[in-house]
Amino acid sequence: MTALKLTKTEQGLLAALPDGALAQALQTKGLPNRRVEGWRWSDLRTALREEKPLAKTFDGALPTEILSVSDATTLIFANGVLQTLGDLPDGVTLEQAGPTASGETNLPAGLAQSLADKKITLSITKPVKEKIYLRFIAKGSGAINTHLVVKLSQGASAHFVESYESADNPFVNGLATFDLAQESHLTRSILQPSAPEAIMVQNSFVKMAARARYDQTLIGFGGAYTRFETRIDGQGDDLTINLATAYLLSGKNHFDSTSEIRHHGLAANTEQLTKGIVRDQARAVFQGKFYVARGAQKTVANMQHKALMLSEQSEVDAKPELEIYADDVECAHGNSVGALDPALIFYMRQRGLSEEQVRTMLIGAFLGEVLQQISDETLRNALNDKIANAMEAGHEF
Amino acid sequence: MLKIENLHVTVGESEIIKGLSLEVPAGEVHAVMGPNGSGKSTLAYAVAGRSGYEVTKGDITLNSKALNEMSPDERAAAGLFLSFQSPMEIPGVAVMNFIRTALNAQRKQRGEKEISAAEFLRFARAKAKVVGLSDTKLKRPFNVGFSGGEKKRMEMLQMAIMAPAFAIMDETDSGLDIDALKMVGDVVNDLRAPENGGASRGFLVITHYQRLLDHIKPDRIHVLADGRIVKSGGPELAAELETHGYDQFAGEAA
Ligand SMILES: Nc1ncnc2c1ncn2[C@@H]1O[C@H](COP(=O)(O)OP(=O)(O)O)[C@@H](O)[C@H]1O
Ligand SMILES: [Mg+2]
Repeated sequence: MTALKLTKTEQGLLAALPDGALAQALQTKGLPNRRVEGWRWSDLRTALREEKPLAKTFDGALPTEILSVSDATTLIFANGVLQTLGDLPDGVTLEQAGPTASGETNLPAGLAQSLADKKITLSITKPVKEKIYLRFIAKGSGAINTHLVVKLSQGASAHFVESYESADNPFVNGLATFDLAQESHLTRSILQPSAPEAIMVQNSFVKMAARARYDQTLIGFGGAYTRFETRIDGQGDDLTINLATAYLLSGKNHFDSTSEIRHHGLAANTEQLTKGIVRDQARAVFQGKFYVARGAQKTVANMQHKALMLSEQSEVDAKPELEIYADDVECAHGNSVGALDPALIFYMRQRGLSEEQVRTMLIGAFLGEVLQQISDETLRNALNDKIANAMEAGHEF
Repeated sequence: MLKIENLHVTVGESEIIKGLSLEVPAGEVHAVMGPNGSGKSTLAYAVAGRSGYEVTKGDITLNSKALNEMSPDERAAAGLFLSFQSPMEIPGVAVMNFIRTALNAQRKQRGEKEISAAEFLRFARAKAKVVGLSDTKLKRPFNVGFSGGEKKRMEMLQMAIMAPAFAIMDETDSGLDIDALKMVGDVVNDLRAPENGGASRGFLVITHYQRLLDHIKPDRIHVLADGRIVKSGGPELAAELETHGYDQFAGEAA
């Protein structure tokens, strides 16, 4: 292979990495860029042309809670470092270990493993009522890596609320792996507020055993570069998987939702709904893939992506994909990108609503379908308020 | 109260309304009849301020207030209501939520107090009975999956609730059966009643057929052909049009 001329950022990362497969991959291929499948619309190499040295510890006071989550234990990661924590709910244990050498081929995920301050393992051994609120707070202009490992034992359940709050222009890179044993149930409700100068990649790798259930709702406002990647390895039979994503992008924000759900067991039930709004010069990327193995009969899987473009300069790139090897399955996907109907806007204004009110109402209704996925009413309302406030604040979300 | 003077309206490249004048005094109902494509809906949209319906010449005033430069919502707040020929669906927005938010937006613009959710509900339910829409329909997303007739009832519900100073009804009768026509008549006549402020209210009823005019007695009838009023007369004109059709005006329109 011809030697690649590494960018400053890549050279810095390479110096920080131990020798091994990951360092070698970085050296030969560089960071994922537009020439790499799956990264065409979200070129990380270009986004990171300015060097990001490893971040300093978080200084100053932590920002006030952006989401008030009732009935929850909060864990705060400030610039990647877990802050002192109080009591964990019964059935939850936390372990910290040093970073692990990485066998990952996914570069950002591998970097998170190798460069995270600590590997944090959360083990959940029974149904936990109390929510677990993970706040990932970043500021400054350094690189921040986190590595979280979550294990749910058989029959265990938990509800994670997560917020990814970035100020300034850091490079935030997270990896979370979720291991769901039989009959376990994990719910994740994720908020990513707008971070116009921050670069962020979050990888979620989920492994599911028989009859496990995974519900994920993500509300994203994007940033200079924001990518959420969710890979689900459905190994057992009778899985239930719900992925719901809403994005609201303004300014020059970029938001990428990439997912791959692999069905290996029988009769999985998968629903994936992504709805988004882009305005100004914002750009959304949706890449979704369902893989259904030969033996995964009776899989029912539905993937829908719907976007509303509110300006001429905004952009939506979508690539829904089905790869199916079983013959007795029901798999569907739909993708639509449109604008608000001027005839409808006129109708509503004729009844007395201002143009702004009409937009707010129609956008709220459009995204409502995603929020409906959150069964916790207080949380749903809180997230709804986030969206409403963002829209009321004017032209920026 | 509604005064239209020498109105010219262009849609896209073509002039559709070509010098139309019309005055509806307070307390009166005027009907506009005319063949398909004569510009009836265009007139309604232009008065309501729809973008793309460009008024190139002429003035529209409501109670001496110039409407030309106002946005559609400002016109609504000024008391103008348009019952659409083809009402829209609003996915994800419940009927009651939409109407209440719209009503309150109008009231706020006029500097009036907003109506509370409970008060609105009571009022709206009573009106829904009159127009024949069930409570379950009121909980559904606005007009989504409603039949053509139900959508027209929804227009009448909004008109009854908003009690506008001036209403333009664009073929509200099309697609309605005899009972529903009577309902439309009831809603209009209730708003015309002196005790409900009928003396200061006006209506412009666009229709093809005499049958609605059996329920709503118009004070005058105007015939629209090719973007102009080609004939005006008393209520007896409706019967004449019903028998002789619009062909007699073909020459005048050309
Ligand atoms: N949005 C539009 N774009 C282009 N032409 C239009 C549009 N709306 C109406 N027209 C044209 O204007 C004329 C009058 O239409 P319309 O006002 O709907 O008539 P009516 O309501 O009397 O049937 C027709 O020739 C129609 O084709
Ligand atoms: Mg018409």
